[in-house]
Amino acid sequence: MTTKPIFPAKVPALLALALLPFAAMAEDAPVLKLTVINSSETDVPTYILGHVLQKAGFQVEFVSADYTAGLTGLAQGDLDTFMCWDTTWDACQKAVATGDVINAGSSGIAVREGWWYPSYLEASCPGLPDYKALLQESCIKALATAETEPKAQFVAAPADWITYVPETIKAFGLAVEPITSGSSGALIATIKGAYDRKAPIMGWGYSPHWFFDKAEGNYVAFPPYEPACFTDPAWGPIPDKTHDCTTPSGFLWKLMNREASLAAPGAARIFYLFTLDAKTVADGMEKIDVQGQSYDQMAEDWVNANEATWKPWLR
Amino acid sequence: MTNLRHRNMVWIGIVAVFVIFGWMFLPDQARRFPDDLTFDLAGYINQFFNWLARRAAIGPFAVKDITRALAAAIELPLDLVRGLLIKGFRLRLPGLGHVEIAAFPWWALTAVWVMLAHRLGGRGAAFLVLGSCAYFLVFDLWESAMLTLASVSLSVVVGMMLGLFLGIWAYRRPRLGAALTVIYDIMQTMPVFSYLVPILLFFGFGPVSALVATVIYAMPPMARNTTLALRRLPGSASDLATMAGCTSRQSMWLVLLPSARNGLLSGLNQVIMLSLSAVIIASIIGAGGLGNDVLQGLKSMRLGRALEAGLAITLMAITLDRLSRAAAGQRRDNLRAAPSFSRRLVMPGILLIGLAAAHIAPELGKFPPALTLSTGGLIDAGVAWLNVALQGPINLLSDGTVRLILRPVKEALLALPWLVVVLACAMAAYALQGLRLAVVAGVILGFILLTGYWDQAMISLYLVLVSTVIAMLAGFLVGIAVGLRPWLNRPVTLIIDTLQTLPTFVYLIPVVMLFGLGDFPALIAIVLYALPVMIRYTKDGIINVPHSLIEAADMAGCSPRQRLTFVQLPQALPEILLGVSQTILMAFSMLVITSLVGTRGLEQDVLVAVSKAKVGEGLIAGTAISLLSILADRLVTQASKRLRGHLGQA
Repeated sequence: MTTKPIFPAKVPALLALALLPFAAMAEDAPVLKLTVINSSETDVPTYILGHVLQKAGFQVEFVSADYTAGLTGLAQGDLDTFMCWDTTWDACQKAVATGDVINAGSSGIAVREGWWYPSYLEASCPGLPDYKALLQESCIKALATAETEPKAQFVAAPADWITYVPETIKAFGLAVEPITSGSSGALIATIKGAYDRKAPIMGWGYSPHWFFDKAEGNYVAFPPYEPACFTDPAWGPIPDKTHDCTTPSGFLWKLMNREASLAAPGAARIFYLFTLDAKTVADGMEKIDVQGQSYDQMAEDWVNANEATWKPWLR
Repeated sequence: MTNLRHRNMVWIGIVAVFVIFGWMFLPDQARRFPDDLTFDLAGYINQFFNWLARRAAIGPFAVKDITRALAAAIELPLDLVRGLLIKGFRLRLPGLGHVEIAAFPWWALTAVWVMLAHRLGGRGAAFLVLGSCAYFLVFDLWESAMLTLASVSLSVVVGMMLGLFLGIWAYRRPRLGAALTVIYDIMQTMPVFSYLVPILLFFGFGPVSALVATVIYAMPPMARNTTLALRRLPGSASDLATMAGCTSRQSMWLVLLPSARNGLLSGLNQVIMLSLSAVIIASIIGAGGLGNDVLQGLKSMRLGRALEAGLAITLMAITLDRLSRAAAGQRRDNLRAAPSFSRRLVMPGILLIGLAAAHIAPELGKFPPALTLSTGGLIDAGVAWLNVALQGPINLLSDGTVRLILRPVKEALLALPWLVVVLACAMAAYALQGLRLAVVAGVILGFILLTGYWDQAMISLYLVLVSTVIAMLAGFLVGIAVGLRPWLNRPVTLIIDTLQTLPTFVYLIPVVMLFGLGDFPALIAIVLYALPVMIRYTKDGIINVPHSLIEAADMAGCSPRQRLTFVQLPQALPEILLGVSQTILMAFSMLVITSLVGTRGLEQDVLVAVSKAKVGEGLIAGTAISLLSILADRLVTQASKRLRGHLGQA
């Protein structure tokens, strides 16, 4: 029998030799792990933050994570910073409630979310952006698809986003069926695909975002949000229903792991002070999504051009 | 035989009567399962995991600390490989301060790998490796590819060792082996999504978690193959070991395992392929690399980029597959002279030069950006153009399918009273195999009912049902067409191989762009994914029909059509039926991915559970998918046994 043993005796020896360097390795300055979620509106500020931190002398690593998996990672200290959308406020609050995550305030980047439609839809649904346009039969018919007829299709956000779409539909008695999109990518692809074809479409839109900021369209105008709207049926135009108003939207919030903030107080200070305006983000997104620049290039350019903005954040 | 057929007819008649009467007389509780009878298993599981992850302790150590320590231990070799391939090291040596060691530059690695491939698999393998490396470099994917290679190779090693260990264990204790087989079935059919969250809780966000998930998914074939290969060894092998006076350990490691080498290597081969197919899902919990590139491209709708990275994964899979096969085929040739001392030094020499060069002139370690290219924009523009240009036919196709097939089937399945479904399934199982399978069917469906996932399960089932039927029909026809034309075999096999190594996510890319959201694009994606298996089994079955039979048929004066229906198809039936059961399994495994384009069955619960970090819901919905696919597989397997019995094939 001329077979050779599966594990040559050399292997363990080689492994032991290979592991030697680790004996000599030691951590010095902690590396800050910034969460990027592969979505430019959130990653543009994160990369800018990262490059500012690098200027301040911190070692930075951009760790790619799924949005909500990232929240778990943040609470457990595998990730150090996170940008939280208002629409997932509950999930973010849950992370803060574990006691391992601190809310470092608003990033100053205003977020707008809601029922988005392209301008050409106004031909089929006269009266838009007022929500009453959605009560007309012709409008519902235009938006119906084979899967949803006789109701209109609404391209809803992924199921884990908190968008109150079913509640809104119920409150106003709209003949609309939300179709969940499963991922933000699928959401954009569907709306953009229909937009390119000039086909009637309505779905969950959000800004800042490279598509919704650029495409010609608008958000359906529901009565403005007030906390009472969600709790008090009497509030708003529909006397016996709650949620008869628009979905609240606010800012991108900055979350940080508590232990990371204690280990690197200098970085935490920068993170607290870090604010950007929506225009910076929109410009950055344009560079990434349209011109095809790399995130690092974009962030480096911004840091070089806006020293006056970030210098005061450093001590 | 007539008796048997008679019995089947009776059963079918009983089921039909039940269905019809069910409609008219069943009380409401037998139609819709009463909500107050369902059991909130998910809540208990959540509580349990919460306790386990935050409070449970073994002795003085918290469970979480133990798993974290384990994670740190796994991370060590991973860091080593990643350091060598991409990042380099930063060491602090006593007295010397910081020492930076660079990673091997791309040209040194490429050269060494090409040489290795040449030694293993000859010129063809060498060209394949060279081509892959060139692809990674030209499309600016080198770093991602190396990251993926590092994590995949480590998970392959871990999966191999674990599989070997479990396989030997099961070989020594056959009863345990039977239990393990059931667990492996579940491990392989359970969607990876459903256990991402628990892994995340225990091993933290990052490459280690990704590795654990990959190993769970990819290890079972290794264990199965090990047990199988050991069992297949002739008794003389272990007799020989006994006679030579081996201890039990010596007999295993020096005699039995080496003799079972080929079986083990085919297991290893599967581990490699499965590990690579889990790369994208693994990137959700921090694996990085090519999988992340695909995911990123999908999310930001840079489809071209996603496709490039997806093809890179495929290329890596094909290359590793080829190399591991070459290694499997290689026999140690004692007659060939050992390579001379100087030749042995070539590879380490190149690596050393590479390291030195990386230190002296780091620029040499970077691939010139001027030589990179990207088809990304082109593909995106192409898809956008197709979207507008083909609007009419696409709408017609999608609306027609939805109106005529999808909605009716879905509504019918949802309207079926649960009692009728359970009874019909159990009876079918009883008729096909006997009481045991009937009980299994009852338990599986009962589990779904009691946990309150019935409606979702029906929605999942409807999608799988429709797409399996379409994939089966199409694959069957294409398979026959190819099987009858031998010259088509090679090109078709190549295409099938490529399609099968494409990660599931890649199928979604063009589908979303052209068909949007909902059940129709999901249907297309599942059919595309499951189709190659059906084609492969059908065509192989027909090609493998013994030549003598075909000649006999010709001599008997059969027309080509008669030859096909009376000789070739019946002969190929076992393989075709195997193809059917594989197609069902593939459809179930693609199902979970389709939740990303908005399907709403169990798969959506799995996906939402990941994003909301709900352990229990994810595990239950995942288990339900796994159990359903196992049940479907068992039913088809039994049906095929029956059918073969009817045809007089053993």
